[in-house]
Amino acid sequence: MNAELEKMLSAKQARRQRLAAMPFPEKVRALVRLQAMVAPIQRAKGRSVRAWRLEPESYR
Amino acid sequence: MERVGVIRRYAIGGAVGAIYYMEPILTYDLDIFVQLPASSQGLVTLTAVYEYLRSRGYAEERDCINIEGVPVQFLPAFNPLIEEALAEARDTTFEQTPTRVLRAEHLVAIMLQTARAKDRERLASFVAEAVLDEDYLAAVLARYDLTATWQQWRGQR
Repeated sequence: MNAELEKMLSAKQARRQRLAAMPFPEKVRALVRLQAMVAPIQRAKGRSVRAWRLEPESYR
Repeated sequence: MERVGVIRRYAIGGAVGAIYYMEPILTYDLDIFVQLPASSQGLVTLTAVYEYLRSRGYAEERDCINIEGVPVQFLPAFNPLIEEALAEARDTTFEQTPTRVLRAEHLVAIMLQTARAKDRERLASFVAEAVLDEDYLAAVLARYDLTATWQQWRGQR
């Protein structure tokens, strides 16, 4: 593996570790944002999905 | 539901349970493992859970119940591994609300036991990111005859 690729993979792994260490409520907020981004694509493919509607407003 | 006796104990599992330990991954359902009281006929069914939630105005959506905008799938503890996972689930809070999440080591064992393509895929990221108690994991895997499956899975990576 060349050094550039190795650096990129290790940065990716470090980012994942940082995300994994986030508090659970923050991760759920990120999940809801992810759902909102992906739902239109999933619906276009015929899946009936929608982003969770969670309170408070910060989840939307 | 625990307080009123509809269920004995619950804990978050599935993808949201995994997210507790790893980076957020996409899911649209919330899987809740539940220990149910046995019915008078000795059967374990989710009927009482569904009736209780219906009476509170929550509607069924395919194999889930929509609770405050979240499709929740209730999964009864259908084998000894899941019963143990529920018994040893860790207490936590979500914002100010107390809740419970399966231990990371039990999630690994359940993914190995279930072994759907998505479980195997998720397991790779999970093992790379979650902090696992190796001794505890080894004991769980040995108890449920999953050590060889685990070694085989690791060998393929």
